[in-house]
Amino acid sequence: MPYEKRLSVCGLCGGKCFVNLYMENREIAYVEKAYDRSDVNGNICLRGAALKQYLNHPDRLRHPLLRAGAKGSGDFRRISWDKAFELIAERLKKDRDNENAKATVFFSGHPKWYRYMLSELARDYGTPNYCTESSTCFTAADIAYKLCYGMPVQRPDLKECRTLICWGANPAYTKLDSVNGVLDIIKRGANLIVVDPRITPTAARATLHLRPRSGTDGALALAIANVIFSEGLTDDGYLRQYAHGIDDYKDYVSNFTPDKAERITGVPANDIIAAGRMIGNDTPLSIFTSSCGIAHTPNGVQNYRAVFLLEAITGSFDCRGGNHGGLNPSVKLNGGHHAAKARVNVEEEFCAGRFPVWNELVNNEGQAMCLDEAILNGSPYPIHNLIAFGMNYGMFPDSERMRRALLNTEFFVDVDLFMTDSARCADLVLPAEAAPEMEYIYAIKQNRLIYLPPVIDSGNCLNDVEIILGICRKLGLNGKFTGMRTYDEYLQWMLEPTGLNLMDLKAAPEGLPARRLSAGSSERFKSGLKTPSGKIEFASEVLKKFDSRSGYAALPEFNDYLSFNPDKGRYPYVLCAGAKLPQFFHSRTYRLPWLSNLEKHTAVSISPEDAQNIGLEDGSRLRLSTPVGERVFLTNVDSGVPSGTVFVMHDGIENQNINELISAEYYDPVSGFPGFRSYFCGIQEVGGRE
Amino acid sequence: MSRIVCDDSACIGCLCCVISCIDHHYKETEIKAVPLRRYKKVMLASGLSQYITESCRHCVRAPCAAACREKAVYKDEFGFVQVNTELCNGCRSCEVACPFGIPSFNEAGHMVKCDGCCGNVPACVLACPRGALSLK
Repeated sequence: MPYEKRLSVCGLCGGKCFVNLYMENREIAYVEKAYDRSDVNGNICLRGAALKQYLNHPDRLRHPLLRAGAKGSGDFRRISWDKAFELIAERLKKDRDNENAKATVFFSGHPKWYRYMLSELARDYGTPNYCTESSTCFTAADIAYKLCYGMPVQRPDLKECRTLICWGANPAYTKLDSVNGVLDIIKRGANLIVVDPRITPTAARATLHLRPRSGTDGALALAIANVIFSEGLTDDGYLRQYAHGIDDYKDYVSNFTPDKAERITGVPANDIIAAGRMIGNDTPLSIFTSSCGIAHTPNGVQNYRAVFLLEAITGSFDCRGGNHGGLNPSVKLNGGHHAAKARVNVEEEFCAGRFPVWNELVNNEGQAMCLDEAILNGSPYPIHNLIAFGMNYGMFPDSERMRRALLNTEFFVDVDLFMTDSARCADLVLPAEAAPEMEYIYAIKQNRLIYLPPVIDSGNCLNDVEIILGICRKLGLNGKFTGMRTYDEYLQWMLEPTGLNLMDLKAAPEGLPARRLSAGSSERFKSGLKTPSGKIEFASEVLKKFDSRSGYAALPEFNDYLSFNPDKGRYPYVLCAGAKLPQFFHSRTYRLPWLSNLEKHTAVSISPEDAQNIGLEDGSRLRLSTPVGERVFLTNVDSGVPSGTVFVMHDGIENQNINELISAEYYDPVSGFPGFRSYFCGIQEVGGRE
Repeated sequence: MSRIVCDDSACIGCLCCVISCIDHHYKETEIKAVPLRRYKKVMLASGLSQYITESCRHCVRAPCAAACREKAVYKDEFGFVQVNTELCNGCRSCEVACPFGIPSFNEAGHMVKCDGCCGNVPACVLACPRGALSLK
């Protein structure tokens, strides 16, 4: 075979699936999972299998570009990196010299690996305004978990749980590296409960599948707790020792009988009873959630709390088989996904005050959903400069408004892989490298580490940290991080907790074992949790401080969003935006023809019954209207969709972005998360087919 | 017989096999690539709407080969049924002859179908995250 085999990481979704790239004349011929290496996690999904179309896409950015025409026109001219950094520094220095550093916002889209450095840049530059796409993704779940347990969401123990609830997650489409771990628990005789309105490949294999109406997860969780209490299946010893507010909570869940929950959620009372018995009798319980399946509703954080507290009443939290942070010592690297430095002058941040619980529990980033308001209306103060990595206005509710905000910035820099719709609105567009194009270090199996050099030449692109360091240099910043002169210094800092030296690791192509491991994190609650009471808070002392605010109840109360429907006659359907198909990942793979050509009409899925009632067939045109606007889509009739709810793929492009039709004023008052998954819509047949 | 079989109870319809098949047989610039492994969405008994995938069975006495007047369809040394696209005139006799609905046709009208990855471990078998595919 003429191909040269090179080990790399796909990285298309930000994951760390190891792949073999088969190279011919320095171009990828094809990609396979690294099946021949037992020391790494070799995986590939269909999106990764299209890696060469992704990396070599004609929309890839290859040079820094400066706007040459009107803002948003897409008219750019090439400039040098040095000139690009110079322009950014000049602009930022001017505001800083006028003691107005806070007029600059630093933003990170979905890529995460460089976020620590971006937060350091914001901090050393002097602005409190650092925010990320996690404002619609994972932060709400973390807030809920912190309210209960004083720590971010802990991982499920797939190997040793007796019951796993896969709640609002379908790893068969979205997390193929976990799907075997989830489905294998049935093989070993444990229970798999899937909570999902849709019938998914994961749900179809479950021991028990519960299908609540989208956004009613809290009511379902409270009713399951009701069964566990009323049948005497709680772990009372555990609760006596570690629970705070358990009596009030028990009183509250006594209202949520299975019959009442059936009326709210649509899940048959008998199934709720079966779930309560299964969970209560067969512990430990682990809960596997997706980042935001539960969060995108006005009661999102409270719903999440109700779900997460099931871990506590069964005595499973932080125990073997329950959700925990890893029991054994393991390799930890500095930096990483959600790491970010605490912000400076948080009280001056652009959405301080709007979300006080966020501000108390998430000290390292702001709620980005306030961004359009700040830019467009100068509220609470004007924002001039937006320095973004991977901006996508399509992820904001009422997306057109966010697009307008981008066009209204004085100076907008966007770093991206592709010339996206958002990048087109920028003054300066900078080309980033993809994972196989950059050098990086990875923790692999058996507490080893490996350094991977770039496999593909990116031309004139730089990796995100190199771009951040370029800006720092021109700004003359000199902090521990912002003063780094080379990317190698950053990699060496990443390695610090392992006791390894970067040069040694670079010289060992097969990797090296870590010299130092970081401690496992089990049984932390015995020394007191980082909640105000030091215990598991069924009644939250943090929320209690703000309980005059609507939605901030100390108990995980359920409030139904249906009362927000402004016109039940016009909008009789629940709109669940953000449903997933295997071929799409955020807005990142719509542009890949191999993936987007797989199915012609994927945007809107409705049940066969609803389709029949409205007079729709597969492929016929429909008009979807919401209180914000309307748009024509093609119908996808899907027998796995419950009637009464319409499921729409998220972050589409070319007039298929459903987020444009969701109000920015419809959000969870605790987290600020938009109500993407529980909005309202009407559907009409408009005649014609694709 | 050399054919790729799928354990339906393990398949989750993730389509890794289909895109890996495309990746192994086409350049990224061939945006209208027709996968050699077929896929379709079906409604299963559970109500689940799921993709299922299928490859040529490489029949011992292949009706498609018998039906091809141009002798474009033939058996190779591994027992796989192959298509010589230079000889294929797009008459679609193979499509009529195949009892399993396997032949697809590319933009040029030539028949495309699973080539068994010509003696290597097939791309689809290697890609399947569930281990549902095997070469029998």
